[in-house]
Amino acid sequence: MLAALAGGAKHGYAIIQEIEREAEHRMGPGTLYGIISRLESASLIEPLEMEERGRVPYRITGAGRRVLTEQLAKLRRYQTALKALAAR
Amino acid sequence: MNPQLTDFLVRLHGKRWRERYGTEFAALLGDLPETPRIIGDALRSALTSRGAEIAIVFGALVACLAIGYVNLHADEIQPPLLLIFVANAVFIVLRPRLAWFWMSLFGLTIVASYVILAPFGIGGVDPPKHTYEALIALVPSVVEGLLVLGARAAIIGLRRSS
Repeated sequence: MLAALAGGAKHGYAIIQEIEREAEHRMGPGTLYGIISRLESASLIEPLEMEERGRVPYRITGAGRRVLTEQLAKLRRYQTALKALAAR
Repeated sequence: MNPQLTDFLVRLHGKRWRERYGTEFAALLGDLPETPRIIGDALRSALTSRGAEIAIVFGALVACLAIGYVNLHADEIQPPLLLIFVANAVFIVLRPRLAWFWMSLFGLTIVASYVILAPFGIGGVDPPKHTYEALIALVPSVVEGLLVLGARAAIIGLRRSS
């Protein structure tokens, strides 16, 4: 979700499409808003002004970007460790 | 998704959740197809958003069952009365706007335990001569409920003044 917003602000439908394109996973609307609610409470994302038809775009905050960077670094470490194990 | 179904799925969510996300969630549902997976996911979200309400309803049901059970198995009135006091206090603190409902519900549980279980031949250890006499349990329930409400208002007042 944070990675989907890293490229710029997106509303719910655009987030679902982005996650489907990048992760090949179709996220449900309730699941999406459960995550939006948690990330917003943790101040990792923030809503922008409502657009037409009631759509509200969200953007990643500075804290969200820091968390995303940490998570990506952790994933890279796992990847390196797994590669090393597979090479043995 | 058609507007009627969208509206229905949004309304299933809790009030606070609807106030915060209702409009944008409806807009998102409007962009999505009516598949069982998407409808199921929205229903699960509605249940999650009402988690506290469901827990309170379940808790009240358990409290009623406990009061009824203790009433039918205790020799004295004190044990079920104590349970009524505890249940009243807990639920009035959790949902003070429903205070009258809690006082009535737990007070009526005593008479309900006789009415509901009488057809099964279960009358309790020491049943009243006439079932309606058990309505007297409403009195301590309401009195204690009002005391809890008063104590709550006093505590809030003290906090605000300090």
